[in-house]
Amino acid sequence: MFIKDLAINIIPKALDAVETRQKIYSHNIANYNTPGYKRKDVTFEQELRKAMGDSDEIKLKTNNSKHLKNIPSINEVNYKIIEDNSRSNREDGNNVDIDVEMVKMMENTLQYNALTRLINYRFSDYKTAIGGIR
Amino acid sequence: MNLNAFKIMDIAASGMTAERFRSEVISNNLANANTTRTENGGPYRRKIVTFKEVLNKQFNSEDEQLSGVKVAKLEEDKSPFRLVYDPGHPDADKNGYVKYPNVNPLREMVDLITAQRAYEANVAVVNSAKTMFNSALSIGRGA
Repeated sequence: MFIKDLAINIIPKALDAVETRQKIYSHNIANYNTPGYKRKDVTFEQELRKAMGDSDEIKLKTNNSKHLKNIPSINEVNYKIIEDNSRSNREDGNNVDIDVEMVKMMENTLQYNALTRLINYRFSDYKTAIGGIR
Repeated sequence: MNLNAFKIMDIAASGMTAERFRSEVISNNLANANTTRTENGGPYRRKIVTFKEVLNKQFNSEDEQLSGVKVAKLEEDKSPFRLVYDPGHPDADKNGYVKYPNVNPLREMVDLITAQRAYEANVAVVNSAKTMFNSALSIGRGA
């Protein structure tokens, strides 16, 4: 039951990605005054979208469970750390924009809180299923 | 939760340490803005802090490498001293000029504000990491 539940499979992965993203934003903010530092970011949503089969890539048609699929399964979705090499408008070559970084960090915190609430709702669904409504 | 939340706080703490050190150096520059005698002789030279990104190579996975920031160097500003005509000053040369430190208080104040803002940003990071950690602890509690 739990193993087939999409929510219980994806949410922990998403939590992990969001947490790593928070770590990277924290690293970016700590290096706000480091000359030549380039900001980093985490991509997870794109990977997830690919795994959900919603991408521009051409998919192989499968009509048998033994056919090879060229879309990754949900279990293989992982986040990627990328470096943002965009041009900087600062003299020291550092491209961290503190406002952008703070807003992204706050969004990320809210996303984390939302994800934990989602998984809690899921658990209470199961609790209702197991114990019934009293 | 693989103790990442604490890592976030460690990184923010490294930023706070670095920015506080910078504030200390700025404060030292300001305090010595008019110092004409130092241990090495001559007027005080303005000090500059440079930062460096810390990558911890001890862990293999890519994301474990990021570990914040540290102070790379404390250097002296080599720019020329300020010359002020003041023949009555004990440190005046024979033409009546006194060498004052190459500290520009205006510039130091601007740097101080930058350091303060960066420090505050790091504090905000710690607070948001705390919220995240608390919400992770709430998983399964209400179920």
